[in-house]
Amino acid sequence: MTKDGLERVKEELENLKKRRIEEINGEGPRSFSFGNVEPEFLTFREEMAQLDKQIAELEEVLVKYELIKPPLKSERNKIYLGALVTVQVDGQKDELLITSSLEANPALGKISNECVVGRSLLGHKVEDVVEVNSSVRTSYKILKIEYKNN
Amino acid sequence: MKVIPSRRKHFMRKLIDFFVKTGKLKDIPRRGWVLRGIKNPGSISDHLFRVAMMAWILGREKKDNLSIAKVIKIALVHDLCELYAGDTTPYDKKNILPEDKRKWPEILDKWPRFSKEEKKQLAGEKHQKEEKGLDKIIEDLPLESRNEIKGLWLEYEAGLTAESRFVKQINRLETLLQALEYGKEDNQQPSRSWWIEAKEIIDDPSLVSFMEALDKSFHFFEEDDAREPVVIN
Repeated sequence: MTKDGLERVKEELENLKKRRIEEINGEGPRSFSFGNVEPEFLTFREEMAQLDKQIAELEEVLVKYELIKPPLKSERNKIYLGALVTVQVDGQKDELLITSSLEANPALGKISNECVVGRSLLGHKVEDVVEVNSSVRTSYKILKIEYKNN
Repeated sequence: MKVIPSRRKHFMRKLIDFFVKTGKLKDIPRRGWVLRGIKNPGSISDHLFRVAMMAWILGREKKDNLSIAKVIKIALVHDLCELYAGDTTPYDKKNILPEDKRKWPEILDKWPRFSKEEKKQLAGEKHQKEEKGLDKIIEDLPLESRNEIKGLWLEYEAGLTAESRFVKQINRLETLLQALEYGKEDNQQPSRSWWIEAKEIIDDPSLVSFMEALDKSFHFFEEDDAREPVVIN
């Protein structure tokens, strides 16, 4: 995970904990009414369980994470996890950060090292043209590879 | 006749209003199909239904401790906001599409690329607009349902849980499948952009296998290959 990704997980965890407290302190439904369990209470309880599961998942991430380390200087001409790659696709330039599945967000240019394109780019160098094939063929020409202090 | 107390009647009225609003999604064609001139384009509801179905069945096949109930719920709510926020595509940004519609197919064939700053701005604007849209559609629901839908949508947007990431990828796969179906109907290869987008998004091994199986099943490969069974990891 990158440092930015780690910050995002921490932030999301805080948001979830805050939401949990707000919902508990809000107009929570009463559990019983005339001896029957109110359906609203069941929904509320289910939602709390889901929130707790999400919180537990992120807490586990914070225990198990490993920060992505840039490769040795001699290897920085190749694409590894954590590389910011400038590519040319269909005549357009794009910047793709190769990241873990958890942090991937293609709308922000962060692609997973396990998606077809991410996997295909790994190990390649500047000037390489990587073909990603299926019924359509797409070429990614690698223009630049950078490693930042993620 | 049983008399419904006025509070209960009011409550039911609010639920009916919500279902009427969600029903309107049946009449909103998906923008991507409209731009490509598809006849009788599928609606947002059509998309939500099949995303939910695919998420359920492919989620079960994945056998990976996903909460299937949650996956289905996320699938059902992920685009509810579009009733008010509208269904926008990356081609709607920055005046990518010229007035001359004859030039559109060539542009729509490529997945549009943006700078890092533009991506951040576009994603932020989309999120804000969609959150407002969602708040509006659920505003009169009982608090618990409102919180649940909003929570599921926020989870989908954050994409930090296994279920939300799975549905995000199914979302792309459903669109790809629909594009392939339209392509088959018109006997035309669908836009390359659907494939490019899917290959930059889908990373779940079982869904990558499914995507490859889709490729084989839709007319682009030899018939013998197309008969190979779909393998889900």
